Amino acid sequence: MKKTLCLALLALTASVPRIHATQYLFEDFQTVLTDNGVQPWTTPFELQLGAFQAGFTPTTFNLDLWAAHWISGGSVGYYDPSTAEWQAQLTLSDNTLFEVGRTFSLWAFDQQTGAERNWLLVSDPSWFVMPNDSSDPSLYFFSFSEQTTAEFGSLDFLNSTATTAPASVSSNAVPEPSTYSLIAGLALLVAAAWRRNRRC
Amino acid sequence: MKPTSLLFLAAAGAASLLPASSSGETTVSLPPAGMMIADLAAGARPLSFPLLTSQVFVGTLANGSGDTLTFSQGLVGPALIAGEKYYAEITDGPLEGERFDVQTAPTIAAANATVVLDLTSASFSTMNGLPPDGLVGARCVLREHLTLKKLPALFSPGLTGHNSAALADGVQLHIDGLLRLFFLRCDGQTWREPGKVVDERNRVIPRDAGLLLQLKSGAKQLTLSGDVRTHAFRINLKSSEQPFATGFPLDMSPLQLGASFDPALPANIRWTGSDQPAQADTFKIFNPSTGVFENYYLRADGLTWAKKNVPGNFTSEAIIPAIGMTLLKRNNADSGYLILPPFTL
Repeated sequence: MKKTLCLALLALTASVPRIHATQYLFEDFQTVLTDNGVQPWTTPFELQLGAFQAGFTPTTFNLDLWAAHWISGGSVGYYDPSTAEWQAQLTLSDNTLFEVGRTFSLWAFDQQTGAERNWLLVSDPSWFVMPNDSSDPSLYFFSFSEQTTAEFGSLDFLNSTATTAPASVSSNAVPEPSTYSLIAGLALLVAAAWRRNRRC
Repeated sequence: MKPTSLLFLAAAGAASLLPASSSGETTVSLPPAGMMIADLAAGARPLSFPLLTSQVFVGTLANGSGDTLTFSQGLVGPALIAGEKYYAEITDGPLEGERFDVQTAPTIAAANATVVLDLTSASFSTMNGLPPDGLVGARCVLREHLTLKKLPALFSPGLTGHNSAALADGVQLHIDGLLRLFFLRCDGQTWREPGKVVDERNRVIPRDAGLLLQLKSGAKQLTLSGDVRTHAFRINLKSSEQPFATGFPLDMSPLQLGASFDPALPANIRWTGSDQPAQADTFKIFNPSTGVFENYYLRADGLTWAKKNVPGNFTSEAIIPAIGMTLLKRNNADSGYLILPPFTL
């Protein structure tokens, strides 16, 4: 049933002609990416503009799940350490992936998976999704600002420094909040059954 | 944007077309030429390029097979410049209007009367294979493709580059259903897409497509000069939304484009009309005043073109601009679509 539904959705997606779309572009030429606040990275990083699936909260305890829950247009941008140049873009044909008003995040990484990885995740309240109208070939430009906050790593906007954090903690064993709820619910059921059995 | 001014359009007079000689001596025949000037304010400005670059090589074909055209005489290779992109266009005969991308390096290496073609689906060739008939004896012209690196020279003052896409002059091209931005870097030579490091200076702007110029550095004057196409223009229409340019330096109407239901055509290549705009074949024309595309659709009678939310019949109105950005949404593909010249010589 699930497979049939997936195939039907795939067929539906394939039959819808793509249309010209809204482009969101992130760029910055001031901010130096460092690995400890002082030492600039000399290797390039990849950038993606996107957001996590609704209901998923990225934490240091579920780092291994970030990539699976990350939504982006598939376009990979870059941070060039030789010029401190950041550029990434995301093209959206409609608002099915991101609802209007949703805030984008910027994810910088040397690798998304693997043992030795360094990440920076930032967002800004001014980086939000617009109505992607098929008759509106608009370009929206984003950059770091005083409002930009780091959700992983850190950003010192006034000193034009962004700092990655190691993302090497493997935490698959740590359940997500929804799992905690499930466990708590099961525990309540067991307790209720135990009390009923004791009365009989 | 001020209206485009046609300063000089020699096509109407065809003054340069010489009569054929009856004594058998060689007759030099030059195509009519023209010049178009437009004043462009800063912002998003729609453009297309209906005038042709100069002929690089012209002659009569002796053969065409595989991926090679062979002229009856002359040396093609020495006429080409390594690294540049060219196309061959058939200008008469049953294949009039067909265009084929040229593989520059192998053609230069051959150094004879042959032209090696790129007929892959990734090319801008209007056919993906040479037909067995129709090429021998046809007139064929080689011209340079228009590429991004040639754009700055068309403007006065020239386009201004910047490493920030937000500050640089750039263009949005409609590629595979999406508008993609390419911008000029601060070296004034390199073109890039935001977030990518590939140099796109040699990216071709197809003859059958317009673009949106993003002028960040201020007002410019655009000057287009070149030959006027005097033969039919071929477009491979797809069953999707696609860029559309007429190939001629005159605004044209749907009627002139043959954009109507024709029962004589096979059903699977006909124009599709509907009183539901979303289901009809539609021209989307960018209006620089409003910054949006305005939709004209073919009504259910198969003849009348209407503008969405505006009363009137636009069938005979020259709504498709010679210099503009037009998108065409078609229900049916048509791999043999031809636009005839909107003038007579």
